[in-house]
Amino acid sequence: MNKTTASDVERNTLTQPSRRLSDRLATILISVGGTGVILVVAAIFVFIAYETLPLWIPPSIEHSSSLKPSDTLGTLHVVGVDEYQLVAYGVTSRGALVAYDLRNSRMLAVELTESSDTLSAAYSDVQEGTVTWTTRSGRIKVSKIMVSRNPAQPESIRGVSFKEIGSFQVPPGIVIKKVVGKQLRDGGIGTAALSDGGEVYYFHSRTTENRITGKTVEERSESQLPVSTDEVISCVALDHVGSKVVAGTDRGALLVWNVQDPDEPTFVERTEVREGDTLSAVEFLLGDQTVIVGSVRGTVRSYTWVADTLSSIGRKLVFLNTFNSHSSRIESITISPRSKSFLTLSTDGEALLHYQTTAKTLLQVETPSRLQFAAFSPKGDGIIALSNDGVTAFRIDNPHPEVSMHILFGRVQYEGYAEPTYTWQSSGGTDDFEPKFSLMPLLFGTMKGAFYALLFALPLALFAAIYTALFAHPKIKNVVKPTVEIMAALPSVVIGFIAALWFAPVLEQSFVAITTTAVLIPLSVLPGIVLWKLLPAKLTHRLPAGSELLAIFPSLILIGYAGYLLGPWIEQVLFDGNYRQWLYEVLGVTYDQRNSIVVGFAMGFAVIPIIFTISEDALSSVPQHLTAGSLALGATRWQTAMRVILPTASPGIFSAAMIGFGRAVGETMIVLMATGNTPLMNWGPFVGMRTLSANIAVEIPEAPHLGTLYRVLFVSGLLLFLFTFVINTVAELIRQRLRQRYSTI
Amino acid sequence: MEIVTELQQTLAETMVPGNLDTDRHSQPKIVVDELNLWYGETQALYDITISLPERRVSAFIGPSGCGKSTFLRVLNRMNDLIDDVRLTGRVLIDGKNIYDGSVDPVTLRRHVGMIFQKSNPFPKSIYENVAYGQRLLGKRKKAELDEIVERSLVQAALWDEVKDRLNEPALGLSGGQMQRLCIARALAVEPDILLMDEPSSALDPIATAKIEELMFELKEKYTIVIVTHNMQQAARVSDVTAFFYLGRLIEFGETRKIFTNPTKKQTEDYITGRFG
Repeated sequence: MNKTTASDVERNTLTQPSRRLSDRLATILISVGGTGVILVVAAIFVFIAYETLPLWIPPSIEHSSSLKPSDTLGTLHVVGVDEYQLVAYGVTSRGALVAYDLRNSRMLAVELTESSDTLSAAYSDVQEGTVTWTTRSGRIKVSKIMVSRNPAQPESIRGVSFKEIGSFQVPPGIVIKKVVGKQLRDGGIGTAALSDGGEVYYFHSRTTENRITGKTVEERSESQLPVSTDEVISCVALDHVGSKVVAGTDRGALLVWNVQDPDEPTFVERTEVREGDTLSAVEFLLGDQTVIVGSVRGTVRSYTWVADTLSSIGRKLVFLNTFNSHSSRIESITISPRSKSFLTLSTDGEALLHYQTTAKTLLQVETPSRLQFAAFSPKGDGIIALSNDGVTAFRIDNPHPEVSMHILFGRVQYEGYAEPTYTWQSSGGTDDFEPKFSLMPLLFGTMKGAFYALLFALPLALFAAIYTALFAHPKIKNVVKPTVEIMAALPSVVIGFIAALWFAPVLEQSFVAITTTAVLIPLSVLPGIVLWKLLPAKLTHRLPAGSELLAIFPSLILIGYAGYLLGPWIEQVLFDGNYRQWLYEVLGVTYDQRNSIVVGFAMGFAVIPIIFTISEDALSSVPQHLTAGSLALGATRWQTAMRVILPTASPGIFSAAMIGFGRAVGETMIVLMATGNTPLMNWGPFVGMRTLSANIAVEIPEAPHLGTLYRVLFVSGLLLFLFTFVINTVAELIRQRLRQRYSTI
Repeated sequence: MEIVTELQQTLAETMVPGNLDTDRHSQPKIVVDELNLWYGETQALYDITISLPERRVSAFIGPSGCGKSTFLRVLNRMNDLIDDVRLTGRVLIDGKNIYDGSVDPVTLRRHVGMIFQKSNPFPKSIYENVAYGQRLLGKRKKAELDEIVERSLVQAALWDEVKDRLNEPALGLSGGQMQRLCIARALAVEPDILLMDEPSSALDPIATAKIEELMFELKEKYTIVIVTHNMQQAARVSDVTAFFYLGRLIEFGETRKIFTNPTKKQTEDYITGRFG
């Protein structure tokens, strides 16, 4: 009918490409945006996971250099290495101290001390760079290697020398078969020596300088340690502070002496550690709280001192871990100066690197010929080994030996602990502290915090949602809903601040009064409702809808005041006037000011808006015809709400609770400020907790970049991410199903 | 005029002659006296006075917005749920004014069941849908509930179709089955009166026919009031018909008379399709 004009055709052909273009542009933009968001979330996940990866990479060992020392001075007995792993030093069978440059095998220093005598035992302590040795004639020497280098270029060595820091004489006629010498923490020199006859001698010297006169005084003492058994002592160890000497016997017992007063050493305790087995090596682990014990059968175990009130000395030695065994006698145990790692070496030349806390054997040190001795580098990142071929230096890449799945999620018995526990304690006052990385108290704390928050928030938010969606007058709903939603805009740091600095002390002071009020409110609302119903219907009908709410407010204030007045009285009558003391005496519970109740209130306050909003939406979106259908069957509004609306909206309410739970799990500031951050595993309402999220915030200043703690924090971040991701996904899926369900109704 | 003749034929086919005689002797079940209703400031119903016979089907017809649905909802006080609804006049059911202060609307609705335009089964099982009203009353005994559910489903002509899947979700039924389920649900609370608000407007002709057949059977026990847009339906199923227009009751009388010989011009115009 209509005649198509030329201009129409022209317009059509002109507009269509531009329309198609904008259509395509929009499609591209939307898909780029959508996939971009997904990619970013995936990238965050990948990044966090990537940062945790090094924790799971097995340690590796790499040969770095080797040298063949000259035999003219005798064969090397023990070796050590400097902190840059450039200078290897040791003592030879003829009592000569030698130092070599590991890069070019050049001899840097040599010192002949007892050229006529042959070595009977030697000991190397890389931490202080000391070598202790004893000769057949009974001389014990302690020497320290001094490497002077250009401070700006540690690789350029100016010179190497040895300084004798200790010299002792064993009683004549006695040959020493094992010796331990250390520069002690107070600067003194301690040496424990085990003779062929099984006697243990302790030598100590300390040089002090009078600051005023400038005169130096040397105190010296030597003594034989008293032995009260007929066992034969087979090995001996000395701690780094010069307070304890430990010896192992042929009957598998450990003997401990207190040598704090070197003039009068006292025997302290005897602990059976391994029945029947002759102990062949014993050594203190870094920190001196644990001893590693090796036997002639090649077994390796660790023992630690724990507090024991029954013992006369207040502590006892208990078994900690068993490590991979060797197939022959353990010859020596050397410890890492930086971590809880140690090396065990057996007669057949097998050397294993273990980690005490995890009880894992990390790797085996292998040399072309039989290993005779091996020690760590001072930084713990290398191993210097002595074999028939000469000296071999290794670099070990083992940055995170402290972490394993068992450490993160299992019960672990740490040094000084009588039993396995879940403990989080990432750092300590000293470098020899054993970090405790159990995530369980944090997961527990997260759950506990969320649980207490939901305990408070879920009923309140749900009942509020049911009231506003199903019973309240639309005018009230129009005020209440936005107001509650504004609550969500309150920064959580403000909530946390108020909770920690205002609410926690108030709750502590008037806990009984507040609890009384909390009990009184529901109790008194019920009679209030009855009273309201008793009012003549003509009067209530004439009042504007929602005026029952106005009646509630003054009564709430009155009840609050009544609780405030009643509180002290109730405390006096029921709790002898001091509820905290009562809690402690009757229930054995201590009341922390920052506790789960405070967190429940504060975090509950933070999650109420989201639970309220989502469940209110779910309830309101139940189709009107279902409500009408139920009412038309003679149901009351309450019956309709409970039997039709609530079940129909239940997936939405469930998803609201889940999202609230997810919010509570991820919440940081409130728990950081109001929980006290105590990583405990205790459900009690009067104690605090530490959550995963708050833990990250707390520990960041303690976590060096790329360190173990840094990566463990990433593990906890990953857990948190997965957790909230799963919760929100499940909640969202349920919401989708709900929408589908509504569409069929 | 073609439509009118067609309607007359339908009437002749469906109406049993004896029916009309008994109709005259039927007691009025619902008596409405001078009813005015306002939504806020807007008046929706004007001076409605009508009495509907017991155990008969009364049809309300009229163009959209004429107030027939509003009037239907007056009869079980469903309008109470809407804010700002105000009414004057009396609505007597069995001689008792249901807007009297002593009448509990919840109890009233148990006696005056309602079927909606859009079937609205609850998202529960077929069994639970039918048992819902009895459960509200506190009935818990399985045997009694089973009996009521079966009887109601039989009455609603749905039993044979669903007896093997009573515990399946009601939302899996077809549209017509869902509507009959809603009827069964309403019957389960043993009402006297059934209000039907365009019960078959969302159904296909076969399902509609089944519902209409059902109404024939149900009117032996129940007083049925139906709002419909479908004039053939009104002519087929109802005994008396009321024509509403702009909130007023224009004409009320025996269906046959309304469709064959309306007294008001507006009625005639409407049923012959001149407007509406």
